[in-house]
Amino acid sequence: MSLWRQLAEAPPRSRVGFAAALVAFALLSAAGVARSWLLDRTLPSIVIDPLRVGQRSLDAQEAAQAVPEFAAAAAIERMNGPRQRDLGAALAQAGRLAEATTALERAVRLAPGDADAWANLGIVLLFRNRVPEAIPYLERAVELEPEHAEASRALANARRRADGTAP
Amino acid sequence: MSQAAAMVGASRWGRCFVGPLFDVALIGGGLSVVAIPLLSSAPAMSVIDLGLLSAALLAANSAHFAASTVRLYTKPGALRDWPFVTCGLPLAVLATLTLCIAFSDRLGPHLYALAFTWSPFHYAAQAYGLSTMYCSRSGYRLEPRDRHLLYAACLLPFAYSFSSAAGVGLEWFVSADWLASPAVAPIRGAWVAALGVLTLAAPAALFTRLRSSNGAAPPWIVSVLILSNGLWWVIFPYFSAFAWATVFHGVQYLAIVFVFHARERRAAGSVASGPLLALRFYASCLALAYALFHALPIGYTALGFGYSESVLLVVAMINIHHFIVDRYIWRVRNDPRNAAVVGS
Repeated sequence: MSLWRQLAEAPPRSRVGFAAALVAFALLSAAGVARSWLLDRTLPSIVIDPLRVGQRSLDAQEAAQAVPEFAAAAAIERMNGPRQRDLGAALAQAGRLAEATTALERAVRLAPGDADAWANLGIVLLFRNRVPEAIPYLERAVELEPEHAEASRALANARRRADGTAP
Repeated sequence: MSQAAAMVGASRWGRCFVGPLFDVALIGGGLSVVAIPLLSSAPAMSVIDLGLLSAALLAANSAHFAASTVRLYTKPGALRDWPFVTCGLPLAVLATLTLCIAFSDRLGPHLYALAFTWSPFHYAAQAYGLSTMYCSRSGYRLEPRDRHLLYAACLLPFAYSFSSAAGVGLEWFVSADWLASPAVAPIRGAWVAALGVLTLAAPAALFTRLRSSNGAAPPWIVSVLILSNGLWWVIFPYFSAFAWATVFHGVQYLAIVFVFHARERRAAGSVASGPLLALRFYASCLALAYALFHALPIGYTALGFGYSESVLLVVAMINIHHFIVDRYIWRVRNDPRNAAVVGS
């Protein structure tokens, strides 16, 4: 039995409910396809990545616009370490260093094996001139991932600054 | 009649829908036990990129979510018999989803936690439903006590996931900081480890128990179904391979839904071949999956909502809708068409 024949036999109230849901869904989906086409000249991507739009803003050096996207994802997946790390990185790029520190502290607590999170936290603390605090975080990042170039550079820099040998 | 006599005609794997290879590998999840470690190995990971994994997710996992909806609306009499789930629920789902996206900071975490707390239960229920279905069609009678044991074995991965998952399950109800406190963390760790061991031991223990108490072993596919679901939740997440488990869960679902759809259609007089009927059904699932998972979230951004919350909450809500619809479309007791396919 086709859907349309079934619908014809359904009670009027059910028909109204079904039609309303179908129209709303069709309009939203069509709007999604149209928006994707107008903005990017492509159909919606098959990659499900909640941070795609935020990342695009970051890539375009528009960190302030990226933060709400990263913040929304981190609020929904509140126990997801990488989401907190990405939020911390976006906040840092937007110059909101105190908030970035909070997000990155949460990230290392949730994902203690994530070298990027430790490195980012150390680097943000360096930017905030909290050099002695930054060193253990950077050391942990290098310990977790000895080839982590950014963490190694930042650690060397932090040690020079701690020794007073930095220019 | 003894169990052994009743099972005459069924292979050791059980009475299959298509054949032992198809049923055990795809419906039983046996293929995943072999394929997921290979797909997650370093050489495979160097070849498989995000695009390929995304295509697999769309083709299997997203399509399986859509399949429950396609099956719901292609079941004869569904709109008459289930006015709420066919007509009221979609509207309620869209309204709730919109509300949660609008207030994503307050409602979003709860919708998300509900979906991903419920998800392992849904996997467990699927393993149980398929197991009882294979027992029934293989002539293996399960006494109420056997059913309870089977249900408990199928629920163990859910209990494991509920107890161990981050941000969902137990952590949805109890503060994660409290659970991580020095007094509680070791107890939780021991509990989770015990559940992990029980989950992996359950299929063999259940098989042995049923064989000794009933005088005949249950269909072997039952053990494969329970074991594969246990591996998906206990072992594969440690190898960051859970995305592949969702692909194989989708494959399992699609395989059984194709069988039911094609057999129902042919019983209703369709002259098309089974594979063609399955292919047409799958094309509808794929189109709907694309609209649901990929177009709908961007549609919400056209209304002014953020992309991140739209994607995450659309995915969560589709999960919840699928879990509810599945409670209706797979009933065997009050659905003569489903019962006919199980017995065919």
